[in-house]
Amino acid sequence: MDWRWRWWLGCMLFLGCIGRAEADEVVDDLGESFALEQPPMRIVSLAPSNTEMLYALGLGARVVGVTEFCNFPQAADSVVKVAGFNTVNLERVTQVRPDLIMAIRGNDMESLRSLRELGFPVFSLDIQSLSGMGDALRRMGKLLGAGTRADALADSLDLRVKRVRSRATSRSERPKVLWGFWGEPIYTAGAGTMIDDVFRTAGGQNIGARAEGAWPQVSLETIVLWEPDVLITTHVPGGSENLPNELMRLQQMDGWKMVPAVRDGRVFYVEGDWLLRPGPRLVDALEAIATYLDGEGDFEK
Amino acid sequence: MSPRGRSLSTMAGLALVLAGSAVLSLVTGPVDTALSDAVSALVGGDGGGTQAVILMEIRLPRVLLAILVGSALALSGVVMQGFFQNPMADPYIVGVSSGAGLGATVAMGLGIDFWFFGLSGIGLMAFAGALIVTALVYMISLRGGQLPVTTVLLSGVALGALASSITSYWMVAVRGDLFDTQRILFWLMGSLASRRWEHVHLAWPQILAGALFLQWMARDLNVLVQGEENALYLGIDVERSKRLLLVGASLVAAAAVSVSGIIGFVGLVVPHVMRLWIGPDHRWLLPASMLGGAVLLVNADLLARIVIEPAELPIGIITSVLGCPFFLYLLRKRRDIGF
Repeated sequence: MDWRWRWWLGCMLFLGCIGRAEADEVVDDLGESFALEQPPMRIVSLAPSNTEMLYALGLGARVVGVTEFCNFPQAADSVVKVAGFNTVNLERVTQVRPDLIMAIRGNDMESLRSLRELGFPVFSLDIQSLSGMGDALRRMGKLLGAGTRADALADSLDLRVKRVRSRATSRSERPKVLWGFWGEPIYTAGAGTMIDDVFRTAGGQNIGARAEGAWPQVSLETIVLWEPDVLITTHVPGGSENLPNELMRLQQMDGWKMVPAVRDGRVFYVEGDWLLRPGPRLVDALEAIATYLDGEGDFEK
Repeated sequence: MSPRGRSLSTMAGLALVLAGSAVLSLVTGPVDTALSDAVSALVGGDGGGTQAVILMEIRLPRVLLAILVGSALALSGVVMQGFFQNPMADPYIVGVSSGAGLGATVAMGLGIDFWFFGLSGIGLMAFAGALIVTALVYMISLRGGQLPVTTVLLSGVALGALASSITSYWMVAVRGDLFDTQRILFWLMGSLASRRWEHVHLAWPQILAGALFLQWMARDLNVLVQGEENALYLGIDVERSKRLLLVGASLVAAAAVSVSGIIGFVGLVVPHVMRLWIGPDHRWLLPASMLGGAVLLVNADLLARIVIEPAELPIGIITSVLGCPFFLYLLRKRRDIGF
């Protein structure tokens, strides 16, 4: 055989091997690939969304450490707290002897590096869209040896998203939706955020995307100018039951009373833990918002 | 007791308190550890156990870093106060903190938070930022080989404000997303959370070199605080001493800030406490302040770790809370802050 052929054959075999190795690997959102010999059994979650996904996959029993803000499902409350807001408690994590740490992009990078230095595998997620969540769930399932369950969960979530989407496209108008709160300063969600994706999927236009940046600060003047048809808030002073009173107050306030959403009473409350965490409950938020945009009757699942 | 004896006994006492605080910090934390575990880990008994990892890889570097940063800030504070002959001076007065903050912000904003050769990108950028701003202050103030103190002070304040403005602008306008803003804010508040051996390695050479150098300059500093004219009569090359002191104090402060973020109060108040305690002789004041700063920061970091565990408090909150009452008490007792 000609040496050239041999060389080519060698190359192909080599590439074939690489390809096969890659098939078992799972890549996280920081580009690191993981090929764990055994499915992790002691998992530390460094974000409420990760915790919710782990429990939704039925892997709650493997969770040995969570953050102070992991309040759902209730079982997560009794797990050891190993992290606070923006700080990871290295010694608490070390103490629970994890074989996998599930992080998110928002975690303190310096802490994540410290954890890697201490020898813990750190799998980081950065979920930016509804479709990204299904993808993340599938990768998690593969990594954790729960592929079937993860695929089923991701499929069912994708299906629910698809239903909302097809219903939205059948609707003729696309109301202008604003996420925000009427206290100073007013922050809203810009383009590229999860909220932006949810609003558009639900059949609205995210009016906040007109401003620059992911989380732009806007003035009341701008909001009056934008004329949003629907206002979605995740915070009501005095609790969500107080929304009717707050709406009445807004309808008497200069500026706010001119905003179509306020004038027509289309101000709605969505649980912040649903809308702001990229976990399975995001689809609940999506369905709720789709109902509000419909403006009539209950949304059929 | 002679001033020298008083200084020596104070320093011996502080060294004992520092040793005690360091041991206490080693054995105290969110996870219970016994003194015997600490001893066996230090001696090198069991290598891979959880307790050993917590003690040797998590707590020990942090305690050492607290000692380094605390002593560096206090040392730099003494020299800056002497240099400016101004009780309001602190390590950050020539723009070290604002420069470091800007450097760290740019590093985080551009995503330069990788490490190379065991050196932190954020730490290096912060160090560079601190040195660049200080160098600008130095160059602006230097005129005909002379360094007028007022010009240094005011140009330091002005450039510091400019660097802070750019940092704020970056946070509000250039940020990629909220996460970066959040990280920058936490960095600016100062913390020793999640620090490792790398950070110790990154800071100790500059701090040790700076400490030895400034100690060597202590006599000059003593003469300088008597007034530049007097110093001139006493045959000291005043301008040369001033240049060297400013460079040394800035370098030490920059090294501290690059690994800890901006920790306030230590560099301002510890020098005053020590001056009230042992008097104005810098040969003793410099090492005593280093010890005092180390004691304050080790204990502050201990509290930062355990008060709202598993979360952590920014350490600057605690340095003020711990140091302020003590300082006010000393101030009431002896009103005269002699330089």
